[in-house]
Amino acid sequence: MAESTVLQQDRASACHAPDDRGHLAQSMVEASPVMMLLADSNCACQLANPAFEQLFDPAKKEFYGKHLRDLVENETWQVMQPSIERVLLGDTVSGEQQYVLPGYNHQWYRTYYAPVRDEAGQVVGFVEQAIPLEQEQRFEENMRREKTFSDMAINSMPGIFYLFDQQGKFLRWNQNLEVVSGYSSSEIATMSPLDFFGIQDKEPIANAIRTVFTEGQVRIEAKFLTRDGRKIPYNFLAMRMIVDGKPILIGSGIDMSGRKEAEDTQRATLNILQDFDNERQYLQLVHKATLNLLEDVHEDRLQLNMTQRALLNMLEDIELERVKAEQANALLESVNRELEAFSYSVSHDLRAPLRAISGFAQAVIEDYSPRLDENGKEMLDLVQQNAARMGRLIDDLLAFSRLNHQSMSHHSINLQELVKTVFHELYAQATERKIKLTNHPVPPAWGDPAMIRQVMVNLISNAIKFTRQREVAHIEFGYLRNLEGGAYFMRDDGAGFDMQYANKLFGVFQRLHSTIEFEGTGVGLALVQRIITRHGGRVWAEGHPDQGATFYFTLPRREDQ
Amino acid sequence: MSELFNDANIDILIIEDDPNDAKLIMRVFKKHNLTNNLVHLKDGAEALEFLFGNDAANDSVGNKPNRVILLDLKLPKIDGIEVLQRVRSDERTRNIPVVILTSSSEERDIKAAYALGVNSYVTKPIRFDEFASVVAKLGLYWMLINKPPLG
Repeated sequence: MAESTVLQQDRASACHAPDDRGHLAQSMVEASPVMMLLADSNCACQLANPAFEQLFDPAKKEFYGKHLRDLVENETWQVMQPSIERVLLGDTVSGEQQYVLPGYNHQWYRTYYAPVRDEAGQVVGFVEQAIPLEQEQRFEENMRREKTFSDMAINSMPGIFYLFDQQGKFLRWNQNLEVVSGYSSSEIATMSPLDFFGIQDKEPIANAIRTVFTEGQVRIEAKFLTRDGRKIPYNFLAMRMIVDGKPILIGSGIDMSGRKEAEDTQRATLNILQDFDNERQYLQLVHKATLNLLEDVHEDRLQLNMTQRALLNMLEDIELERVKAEQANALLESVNRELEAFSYSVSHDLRAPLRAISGFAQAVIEDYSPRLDENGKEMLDLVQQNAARMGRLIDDLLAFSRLNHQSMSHHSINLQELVKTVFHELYAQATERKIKLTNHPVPPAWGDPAMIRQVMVNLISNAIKFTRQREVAHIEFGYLRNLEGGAYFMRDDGAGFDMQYANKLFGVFQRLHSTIEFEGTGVGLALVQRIITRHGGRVWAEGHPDQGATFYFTLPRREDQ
Repeated sequence: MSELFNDANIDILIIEDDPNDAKLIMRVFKKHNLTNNLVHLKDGAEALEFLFGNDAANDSVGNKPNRVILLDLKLPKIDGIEVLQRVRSDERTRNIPVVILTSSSEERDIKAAYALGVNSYVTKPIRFDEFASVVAKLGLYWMLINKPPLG
């Protein structure tokens, strides 16, 4: 108590009004860790507690009546002045301000300025109170840092990222959205989310957005429509979150066009690497984790450190995803190498014994035929025929397996022209036949020229083969606009097939006719199906025994790619 | 080594690990009366020993086919590419025509063979009748049409 009295006497000599308002009140003020200042309308110090006096120049012995400008560091005054001007106009001002303590220590304070009025209500002075803020409490500064950081993080995210409210007004988005869409930031600010989709996608997207706001989360694949009219397949994941009591949609989208290619490549190694869905699911998990983190961040704004950690995690996740994709690629490459080695060894090791079988059978026929009866010669013929057939099977199987790891190119293909060329090539090997080809004009196809050529070769040779019993065979190629959104067809009036076996047509080594009726290895149509499927199309057939068959196939259009 | 071995005068050296293919090749040559002076060796090590002898210091030990070496690529012990490399890098054998006769149509094999200066690269046809016809043509060409290197 004695000590406090001494202190009080010291301070009293320093700065307090002579008309002391009361010993107790003053003790309270003096002892408070809160910095307190009373000043008049001329900014002259009337009363300052020891906590506040830390801001004052210690060289100044007397504070009372001195202008604040002369007591605090110039930098501090620059910060205080606007608040003081406002408080003297009658406003209460609060905020966070950075002052400089004598000795150039910067420190953040939560500050509160309140006007002091006389009985007539005139502002005659003001009170300022300030509390030093701990490092982690520097809310605004951290928010600013955080904003820069999250902007950076959001902009470095792969794919597009956006927030919009229930009215569809965009609140925030990353640069990718501008880069991918081709719209400027000011344009996006006035656009609706539906403006980024073509007519076909508008309704599903509108439904999806409604679902996000009602149920909380939706994932959807749609074509993102750019300013210059390109449509890019995107996988969108959106979630609802509440910011300041209002529902907001937070979403991101990942470009699937590259993924689709990867998917194709991966499908190529069929049965070895499972469907790409696994990785896609993984991507979605990452995707979701990212959004969860962002959601957490927004729900828990004050835990800024956590935000930073979350964003770092997010970047780590993205890095992990990239590493995982690289690993998948490496695995894919090694699988491809194995397949190549396999085909190499099949072509070397399986064919050599066959050549020997037919070679020695031939040698026996040549060298020993006088000693063989008809039956013996016939059996040797059969040995050779079967060796030849096995040779074809090996070739077809190799072609089929190569197809799985062949890379695809995409070009526009004139199918009518292709059918004409292929037909004449194949017809040249069957000149004894009478075949009439009706070749309609068709829309251009979009695909790998060599593979699509293989499809046409297989379908046409099929048609030629199975019309063998017709005196004049008819083959027709054309396009049906209204079938499955547009399908090409190859029709013949040949042997046809029973529809109950239609599902067996496209299986490897599946045959509906005996090799005596129609030769073949049963790989041709399987190859057709594999090629069309790899292109993202569909193939099916219709037929009746002895009434011909029609093979239909679809190919995605160029704009769908 | 084959019973046809004749160290004084060898026209064709066949280096082929598949005994069936070797037998069929020799049968075709015989049928067309191309030559009796041929030798069949079944791997790369035998081939190198035959061509260069065991004694690296003694140049006179090796054998030198007059017309052509038919060389398979996939050989036990020492493969065809290495045999080709040795043949091409040795003064004694550098000029001997070498024809690769293999079932491989792999790009890397074709490139490697030509990079080492092979005279011809032929893929064995799968069907025997085609195989027989190709072997007969090869034999006719190298025995009757092509002018062999002198000395």
